[in-house]
Amino acid sequence: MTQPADIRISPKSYSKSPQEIDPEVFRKLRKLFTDIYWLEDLEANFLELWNVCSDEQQQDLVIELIHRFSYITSRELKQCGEKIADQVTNKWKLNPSQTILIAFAEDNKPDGSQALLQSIKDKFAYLDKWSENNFFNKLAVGAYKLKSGDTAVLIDDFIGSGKTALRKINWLFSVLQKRNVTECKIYVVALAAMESAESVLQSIPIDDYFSCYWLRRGISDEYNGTELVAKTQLMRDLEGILGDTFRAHKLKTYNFGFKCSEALYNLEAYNIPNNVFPIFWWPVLKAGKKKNPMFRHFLG
Amino acid sequence: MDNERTIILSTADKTILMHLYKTYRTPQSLFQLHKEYAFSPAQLGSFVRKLGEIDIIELQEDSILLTEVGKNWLLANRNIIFFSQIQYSWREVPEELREKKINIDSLYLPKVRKLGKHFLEDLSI
Repeated sequence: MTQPADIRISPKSYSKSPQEIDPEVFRKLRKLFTDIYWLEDLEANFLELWNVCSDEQQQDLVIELIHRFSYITSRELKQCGEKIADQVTNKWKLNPSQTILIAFAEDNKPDGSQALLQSIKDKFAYLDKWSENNFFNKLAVGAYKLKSGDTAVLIDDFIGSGKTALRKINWLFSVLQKRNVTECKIYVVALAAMESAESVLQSIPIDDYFSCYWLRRGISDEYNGTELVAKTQLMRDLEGILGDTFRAHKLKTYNFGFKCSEALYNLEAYNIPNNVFPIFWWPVLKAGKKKNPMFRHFLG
Repeated sequence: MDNERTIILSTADKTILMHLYKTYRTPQSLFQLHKEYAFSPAQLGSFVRKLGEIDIIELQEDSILLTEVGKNWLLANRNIIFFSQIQYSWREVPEELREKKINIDSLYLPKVRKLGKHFLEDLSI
């Protein structure tokens, strides 16, 4: 077998190791970079996080969490779009003349739900009777388009605690009630959702929900007993190296991720959800020292 | 092995491949490669993943070696891997900046004012 692949020589230059590394540290890092392909592009940012860890145990926890990360690539996003289209048209068998897909976005700010809606729109392109009119990029607009007998498919890129989804769906119900819209079916679709949000979704009177990925909490769902206590304390210590505030935002709002979601998830090239542990995206260390986080979250 | 895939090799990958070719059948410690060439864990980690998934190399604990498939592949593709020049974008002169070329050994009339005051004297004519 002499032609296994098309070969290209990359013009990209890699920085060499500035110094010899301890053999055990080298072994851990080399293995991590072999196992986690997406880390290659985040090498410098990851090493910055690695270097601010106070001890080996914190570094080991970072490695374990990175192994659990769900990193969705654009190729996987495309496959998810196809799955969502299949769910809507074949599994739920929703009627295109009475169905609208609405992004969860509630104001004028760009939002991940709109990006997901845009990315799945083309999956309906060649399906009979689906058109541009089936898609709305804002909940406030969709809520006023729904008529009695219609079906709303609410789209979100990520459901963390489920409480934001609950609030928005309750708002939608109140609008429909005010407008005397009855017999409206509601479905919820997410690209990724935390398993812990499922109980919240089940408590809402919606017809069904679907998520391409169901994610476990990075620490609470992975360890038990004394190990859980130890890992939780390690994460508290790790978060202790982060600055307490950034602009008008307080770190304590995001400890262990927003609403303690403990999410380990990122959609390639998108804004990382604030439900993810802040050590991966909080941009300042103590005393206001800037940090280049592995991922970016726009805090405004 | 997927024939459809494209493998992108860095200059570090080429150096490691050459090293493995020279030491064929002898497992090479990844840590020693780090010490000898100053390759970072990321460079070596990426190399192991890329070349390991297409069976060019084999990982044995913390060492690697070239497989027989890998050796044959290297020989068959040695021109591309070792002898091709990287096409940096800055090496290419954009079309709009190129002068019109004349054929080799063809006669041409130079612009006298561009020759310099002492051109003929320098030629000792």
